[in-house]
Amino acid sequence: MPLIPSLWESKANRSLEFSCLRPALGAGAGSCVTSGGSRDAARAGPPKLAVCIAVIAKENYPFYIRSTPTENELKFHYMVHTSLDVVDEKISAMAKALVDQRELYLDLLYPTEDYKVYGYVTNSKVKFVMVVDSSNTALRDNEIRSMFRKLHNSYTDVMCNPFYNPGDCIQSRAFDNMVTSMMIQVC
Amino acid sequence: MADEALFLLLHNEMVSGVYKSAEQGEVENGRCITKLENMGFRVGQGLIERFTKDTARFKDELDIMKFICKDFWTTVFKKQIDNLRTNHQGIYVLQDNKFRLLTQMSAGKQYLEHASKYLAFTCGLIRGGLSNLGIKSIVTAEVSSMPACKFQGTMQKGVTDTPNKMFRWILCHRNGRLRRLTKPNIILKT
Repeated sequence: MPLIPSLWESKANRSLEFSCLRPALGAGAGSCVTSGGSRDAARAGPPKLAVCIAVIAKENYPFYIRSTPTENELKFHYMVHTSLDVVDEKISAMAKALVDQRELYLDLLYPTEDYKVYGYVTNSKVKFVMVVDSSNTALRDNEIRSMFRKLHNSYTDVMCNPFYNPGDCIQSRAFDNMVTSMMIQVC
Repeated sequence: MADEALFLLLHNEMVSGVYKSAEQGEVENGRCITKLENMGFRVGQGLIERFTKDTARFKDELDIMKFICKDFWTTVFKKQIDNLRTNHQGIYVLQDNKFRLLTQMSAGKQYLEHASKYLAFTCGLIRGGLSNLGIKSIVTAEVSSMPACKFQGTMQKGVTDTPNKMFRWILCHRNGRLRRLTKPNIILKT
C-alpha cells in the first residue's frame, strides 16, 4: 500500500506508517489463531469483534490506530476521523444537558450500512473508537463495554510506563497484543 | 502507617539526590527546582490517569479541583486539603494545614528557607494531573509557617479547550490521487 499523505496531521504520519506495517504482523498471527476457532470460544477469552480500534489524543490526532488488513485501511481511518465530530457533539450535549449523565462510555456513535462505530472518552479526554461489523448480531452492549474497559486499563498501563512519553504514538507490545486479542483475525 | 513513610523518605532522598548531583550554578538559577517540578509533572500525568479510570466524568473545572483536593490528595498524602478557595476566574488556592512532606521538618519557622525544595515535586504533581485532565496551569507554593502551606494554581483559559474550528481533510480518490478539501466542521462553543 503506497504511503498516503496523512489525513490527520503531520504528527500522525508515523502512525500511518505503523499501520501499514501492522497488517503484515496481524495476518501472520491471525492464521495461527483462527485454525482453532472453536477452541477460542471454549477458552472464553474476550470476543473478537472489532474491525478497527483507534486511540485518539485530546488534540485529536491518533496515538494508535489498527484495522483488519483485508479491507481498505483508508476507509477505516476516515470513519474514525468523522466519528470524532460525533464524539464532540455527544460530549458537549452531555455537558449542557441537565441530566446527570456521567458515564465514560458513549455507546453507539453512528451506524453505517456495514459497520457500527462505538466511542468511549476518558476523563483525560483520550478517545477510544471501535468499529465493529454490523453483521455480527451476537453483539451485546456488555461486551463492548468490557472491551473498552480493557482498552482503558491497558492505556493506563502504557501511561505509567517510564519509556513512554505522553503524546507519542503507542509502541508498547503489551498494548498491541491486547488489541490483537480483540480484533477479528482473518487468515 | 508504613506506606506513608515510604513516599516521604523516598521524596526526601530524591530532593537531596537532585541537589547533590547539581552542576555548577544550577542551585542558584533554580534548575534543581525545575527538575523536581518536571519529575512531579510526569508522575502527576500517570497518576491522574490511574485515579480517574473509574470515576465519573468531570462536569467542569471546579469539579476537577474538588477531585484533586479530596480523592487525589487523600490517595497521595492520606489526608484531604483543608481549604479550597477560588475567585472563579481561574485562580485556586489549596491550603493544607499539615502538609505531610513538611511535618517531619519543623513546626514553625526553622528550615523555612529550604521548604521550597520540598514543595516543588508536589507543585509538579498538581500541574501534571491538571494537564492530563485538559487544564493548562501554573502552580506555585508558599509557606509562611511550617507545616502549613498553600498551593496556588492559575488556570490558563482557552489554551487546551478543543479548537473552535476543526478543519477536516476529506480525501477523495480522483485519478488515483488524493486531494485535500478543507471544510469547517462543527463549530464548538466553548
